[in-house]
Amino acid sequence: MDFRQIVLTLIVFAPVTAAVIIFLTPKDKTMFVRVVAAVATFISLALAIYIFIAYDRDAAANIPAAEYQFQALVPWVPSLGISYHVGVDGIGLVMVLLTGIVGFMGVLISWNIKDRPREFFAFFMLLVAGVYGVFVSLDLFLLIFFYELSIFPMYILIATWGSTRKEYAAMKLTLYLLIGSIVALIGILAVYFSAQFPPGLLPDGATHTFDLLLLQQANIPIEVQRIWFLPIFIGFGVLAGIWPFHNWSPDGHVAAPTAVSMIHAGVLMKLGAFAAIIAMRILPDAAREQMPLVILLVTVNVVYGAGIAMVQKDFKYVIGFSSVSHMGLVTMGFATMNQVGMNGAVLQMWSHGIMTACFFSVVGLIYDRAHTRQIDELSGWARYLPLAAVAFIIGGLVSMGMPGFSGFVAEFQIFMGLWQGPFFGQIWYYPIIAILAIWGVILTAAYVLRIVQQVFFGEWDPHKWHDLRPSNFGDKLALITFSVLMILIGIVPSLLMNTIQLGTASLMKLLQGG
Amino acid sequence: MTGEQLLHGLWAVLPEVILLLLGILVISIDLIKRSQIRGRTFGYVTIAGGLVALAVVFYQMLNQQPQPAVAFAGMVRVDLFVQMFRMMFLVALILATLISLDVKGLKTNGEFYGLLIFSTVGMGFMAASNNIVMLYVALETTSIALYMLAGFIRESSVSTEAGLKYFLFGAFTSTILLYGLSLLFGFTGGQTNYSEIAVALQRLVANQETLPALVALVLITVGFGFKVAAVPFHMWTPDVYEGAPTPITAFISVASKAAGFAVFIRFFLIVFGPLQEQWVGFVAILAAVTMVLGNLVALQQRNFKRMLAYSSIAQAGYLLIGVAAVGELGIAAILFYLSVYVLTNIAAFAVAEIAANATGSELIKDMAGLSRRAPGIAFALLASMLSLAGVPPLAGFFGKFYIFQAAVGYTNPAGQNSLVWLALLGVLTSIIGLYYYLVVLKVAYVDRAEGEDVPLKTSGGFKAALTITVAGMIFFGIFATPLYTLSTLAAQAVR
Repeated sequence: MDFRQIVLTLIVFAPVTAAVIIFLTPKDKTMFVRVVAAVATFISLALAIYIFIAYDRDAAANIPAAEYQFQALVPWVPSLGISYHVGVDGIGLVMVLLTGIVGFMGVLISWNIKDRPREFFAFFMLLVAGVYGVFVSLDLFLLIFFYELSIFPMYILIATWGSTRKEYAAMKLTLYLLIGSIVALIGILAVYFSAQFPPGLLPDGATHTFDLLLLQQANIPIEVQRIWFLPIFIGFGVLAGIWPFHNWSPDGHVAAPTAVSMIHAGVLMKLGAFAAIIAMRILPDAAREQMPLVILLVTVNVVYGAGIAMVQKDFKYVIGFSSVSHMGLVTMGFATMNQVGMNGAVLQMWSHGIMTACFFSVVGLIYDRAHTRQIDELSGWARYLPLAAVAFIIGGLVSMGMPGFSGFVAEFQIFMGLWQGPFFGQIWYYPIIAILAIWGVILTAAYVLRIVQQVFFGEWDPHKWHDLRPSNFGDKLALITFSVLMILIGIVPSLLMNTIQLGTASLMKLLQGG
Repeated sequence: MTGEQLLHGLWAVLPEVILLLLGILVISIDLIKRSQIRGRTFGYVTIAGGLVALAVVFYQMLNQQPQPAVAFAGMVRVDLFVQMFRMMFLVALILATLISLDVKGLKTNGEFYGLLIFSTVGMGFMAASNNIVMLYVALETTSIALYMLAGFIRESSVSTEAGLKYFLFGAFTSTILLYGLSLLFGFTGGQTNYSEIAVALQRLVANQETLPALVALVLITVGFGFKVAAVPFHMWTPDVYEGAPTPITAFISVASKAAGFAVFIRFFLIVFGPLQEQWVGFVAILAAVTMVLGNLVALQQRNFKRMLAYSSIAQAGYLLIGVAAVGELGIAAILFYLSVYVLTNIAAFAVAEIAANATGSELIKDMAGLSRRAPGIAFALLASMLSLAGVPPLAGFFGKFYIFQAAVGYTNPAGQNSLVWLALLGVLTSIIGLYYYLVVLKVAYVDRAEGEDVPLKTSGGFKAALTITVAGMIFFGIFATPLYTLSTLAAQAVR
């Protein structure tokens, strides 16, 4: 079999295999378990880098329907039109790469976990596999399958290895996300039954299909589109933290163990946005009508999230609410309904993913030593963990959208997109939203600087802390990788933008009705 | 009846014949040699007999004629639909036997296994019945054996109470059922065969004289509703589930429910086929009430077995969605869901029994520390709870998906879809369900307890049952297609 056909499957199933091996390992073989987890995530990362390089960009730009590459198609439940169909476009590609990086670093960061490491890594592997699965699914059933597969390990991971009201947070998160996903599933079923296909498109004898590529070409009645667009978009959007369904997210971030927070804020929330734009792909007519309403919701995200982040006393809650604010910008970028804004949105997904993963690893490092996250009680940590301080400041600059960092490129394009307005004609309130949303950025600067000043600078009192130990190799590697990536993409955004554009171009083409 | 017809008939009901002989064998061993039997002999004999019957079912399925085998002057009708239910009953019988192998007071008692086998025989005939007289006899055969089994531990007052309650409720509802059946008999001019009643009903519908038939429909629903534990005929469930010996609870919760659905589907689809427009809404409401009440009350339970009782009521609600979404999709969904449910619920009750043996308590909070004491058992609990909640990659996910798909895909004769609301309600209530399933997992994985470092020893019977069920849940959660294809074929065979 051609390697290009199985590479995505390998990426998804490397962590699954690791989870099975880990479950079957005797309880006391901790080192073996860690190594298996690290090797599996590394294999996935290496393959993710491979597909990022090997993706044929010329073909994707010039040949119609060639933007989805590395496809594999195996019938799963043929009588219902369900298949194991995987493939990536420009957007999926970037997200797979992001998952690879954050997943591997997550294993390194949680190297020294003490309570039942075997179970921890097994569930963590399932989580990573589920996330990969969503990003490569081209079948909506498969997508839902992986989507829910990535939610339930979160419950056990947060409830068991978390901190600060962990059981409450884990339950809240799971219920919010599963409600969203099942409502979206019902919507998808409604679309599935009402889609009409041009003759000859479906395999012989089939009347319905869950295949995304086929559904994109189907004719779906406008009434069905109008009813089900928002349930699908917002059902998935819950995971992207769309206001007023964002409430699970800060609690979940705070309660989760470090590696899970990293995956969760860094990658999992993107999964929500990624799945939500599926609704735009299959229901383009309703998307044109209703996305201008969605933008009103996410404006609240951007401004309110940043405002709440400013008044938090717990270090990790600040990051949690900042995620709500930044993910609002992502959805806002898609809601601009033009390619510039969407490019910005996808890049923001990447940039926020790396930045938040970096933030959470720094918070984890400090919390492991200080056993507190109250901002008032922490000070002068730049003295003891200089690398963490540097990484946090770089992340902070990305977060504020400083030129020269990846966040700037992303947010700049989103605001450009807002001024430009939807492709089918400017809507009067888009410029107003741009003006409101810019306040979110200003508030971001305020809370980031507040933390940097209080936590990292100021008096350092080594006698106050009893559990001081230097950071280990894995932590350093993770922090350096994150920092380098944030600067690299800031300086040479074309590394990613070339790929992202291919994905957004095809999305725009669908929205424009061709 | 000629000899050839008799042979044909016996071949059609061969699995039941084998079970009947097996039951007699077990009882006779018990009578003759009880004092000499130690250990698991009865259990092993039961399992062996069950496996033989299962092999026969498989053989018959492979050689299934396209025409259903109708035998004994139209009393029974065996088709793929029946075979699939037989499979569920036999698997449930074998698994229930496995988890009773090491339970004190049951394992050395031949009567226990004999009754278990006889009730399985009754279930087989329930699924195969094609005549209201046959239906009632089969139903009583099943029920009476189960009443005795529920009250089997005579020294325990909860078990006796469970048996008595089950009997009183059962006798009451079965009388109402019988009244409904006799109304049908009277108003259709003395017909007892399903399809002939349907023809007569068709005539009544054409003359717009449907009222007596509707009364009969309601009365019969009471009887079936009791078997499947649908609200408002569910009152017996929590007490019986709590009081009965756990292997019996497991058996009642899956096999008896499956048998109930077998007759429910057959009867409503064939006998009440002409009245379909009237009963779809009725069953939909029954489903809605059952899901809501089952899930809400399950939230408040502290006893694990009671929680599972309400959860099984809620599951009956989801299954009723499949009945309401009448048609191939709906029935195939029910068959798939039930097959998976057999594995899932037996696993859950097996864990309940293990935990209760270890701690002497059936409360959920006393399962704390299970993951530290016995990671394997805790994993089985995880798998069964998540499968009940419908989370991938476990088989319950596909089950729920098929059910909701059937509801969304349903169109009434006017061409409209009138069941999307039911699917949405199902979604909402299944989220409630997720909550209490997760709470159990939280207790097992997160909470700490005294003595949590003491490893928990489990005996071979439980281990075997849990291995089979968990492997099945994962297998059918990933490779759902073969089972679903079979369910679809069986659904096509109903009419």
